[in-house]
Amino acid sequence: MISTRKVMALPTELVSAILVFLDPDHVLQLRLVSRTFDAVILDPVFAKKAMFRHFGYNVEPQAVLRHGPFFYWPSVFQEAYSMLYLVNDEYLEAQVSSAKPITLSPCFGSLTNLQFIQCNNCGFSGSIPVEWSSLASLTVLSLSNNKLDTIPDEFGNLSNLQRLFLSNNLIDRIPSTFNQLRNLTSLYLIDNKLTHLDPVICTLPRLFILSLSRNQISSTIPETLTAMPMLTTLDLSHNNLTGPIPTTWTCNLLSDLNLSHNNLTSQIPSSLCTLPRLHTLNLSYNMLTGPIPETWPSPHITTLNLSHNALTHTIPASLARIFFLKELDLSENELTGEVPEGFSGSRCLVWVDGNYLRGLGRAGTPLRRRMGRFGKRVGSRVFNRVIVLEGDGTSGGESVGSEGGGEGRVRGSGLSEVVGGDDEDESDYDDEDDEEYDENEDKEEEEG
Amino acid sequence: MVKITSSDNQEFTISKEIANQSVLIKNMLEDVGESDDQPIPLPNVSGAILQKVIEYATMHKDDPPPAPEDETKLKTSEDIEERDKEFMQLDQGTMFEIILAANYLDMKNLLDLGCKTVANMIKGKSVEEVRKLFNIVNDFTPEEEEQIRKENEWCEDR
Repeated sequence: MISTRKVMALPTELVSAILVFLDPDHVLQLRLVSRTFDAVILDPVFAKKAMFRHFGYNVEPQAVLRHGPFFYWPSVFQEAYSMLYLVNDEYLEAQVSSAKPITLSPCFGSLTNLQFIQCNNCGFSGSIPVEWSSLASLTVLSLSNNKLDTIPDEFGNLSNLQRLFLSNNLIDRIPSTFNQLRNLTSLYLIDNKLTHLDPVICTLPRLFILSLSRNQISSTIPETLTAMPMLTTLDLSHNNLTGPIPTTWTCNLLSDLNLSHNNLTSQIPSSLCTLPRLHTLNLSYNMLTGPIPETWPSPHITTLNLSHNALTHTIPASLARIFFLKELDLSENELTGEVPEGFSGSRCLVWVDGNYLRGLGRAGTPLRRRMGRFGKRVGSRVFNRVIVLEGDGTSGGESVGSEGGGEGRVRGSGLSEVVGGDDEDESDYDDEDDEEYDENEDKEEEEG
Repeated sequence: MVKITSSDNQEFTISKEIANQSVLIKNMLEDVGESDDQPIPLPNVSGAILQKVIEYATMHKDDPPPAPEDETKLKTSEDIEERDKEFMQLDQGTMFEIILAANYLDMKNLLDLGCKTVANMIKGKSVEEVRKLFNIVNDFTPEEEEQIRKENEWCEDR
């Protein structure tokens, strides 16, 4: 009884009833058999049955998001799986490494219980799905290190969103609807393609971390930014910001400010230095001019980097009185005069190389002498190098310069490394042992 | 006893318990009433196939009544009784005819058996092999085929 009847003589519901017994990966390959197969396989009802048949009472539904093929499936399979297995989840994490382009699944927008989505380092490209803007419970969205290029305008609807991590993507625009994100506290967009600093960000009432480092922002710093009431961390480094730093700073909770590697000009406003909670201030690699402000009332400042600018005048003695200051970098400016003596009493690393400084107060006397041997002058400019000044507990209170032994506290690599740029004299210097050198120096001093 | 006739006018007399395995016949019997002596016509099923279907139904006449659709017990295509496996040792054409008949007669167990058996034949086969197996002609345009191929790239190197 040989029959030549084809399977296609079976009605499609029977093709479907047969294919449902195959595993999803194989079934998807069989889309290529014929149009009928393709239509049967991409039918949502079929997809749901096939998923359930294969995954059953799945004990670990999110496994397919981590090492499974989920993001390669056609959307109808993704939808079927999501509605079967992910619909009650509050936390969703994808962890795939894909050489082939994959996109974020629009169907997650139906998982209304989601509070936390984390899909970092996955190679997702294109837009964040507009469907996700209906995730009313979403509080944390972390999509760092992908190739995403667009945040949909509708994202303003995510009224519960608190933390948004989008660093290292290709995003070039923050939607203007962001001002509706009333609960947003952290916004990370480091290393993206932003070209301007949208003032809508400055209207977010609860934002306390704003990190837009390594973009191509070429505007000036908006005044409204400096008045954000909750802001504690502001990082705009490595952009093309221009113009002066705003003169009025009323964000009184600000503790970390990084404006380094921009094209900022004019003076450092004193209101910036008087922010009461200021902890770390980095204004390096700009084109700032004028004097370093005198008043630094915040006792919390630990790191102050004003290097690689065009700051002039002397180093204010008040800097040496900042109690917790650990690092002070004033290198590569046009500072003149002498380094205040007070630093020797504090446990603070100080860099002052590349200025027009004359020396280190009276303790710097040998410094000048050493200049003669190893230092280099470019015009009248003396290139000082790293100075490490460490106070020791017992004698810290004593002024360096006033005592003959002051030099002993101005230690090691610091003073002895007083050398200019890369010059041939350096070979002479390189072999010198620091301690030995200091001894020699002391002798010289005594002799002198 | 119940009388049924095939598309080619073969008449079969079967017991009620066998007849009732077909929801179609069961419903008809309920509609026309027990007393009716007229044979029930089954114009979609040939005598040869009906013969096989009755064979299957006879084999399963003493089965316990099917449990209500139990979603907690997943059916896999591996899950086939030995006697059913032997029963399905048929040529492909007959197998498909039986599946069609089971679908028409509304015999869930037989339909499932048929579908599982065919699924097992497809398992592990490539697209080309499946086409050959079922004598299916590729009816995609080259563009459509390319598109699906693209979408399926991921599963080829899995």
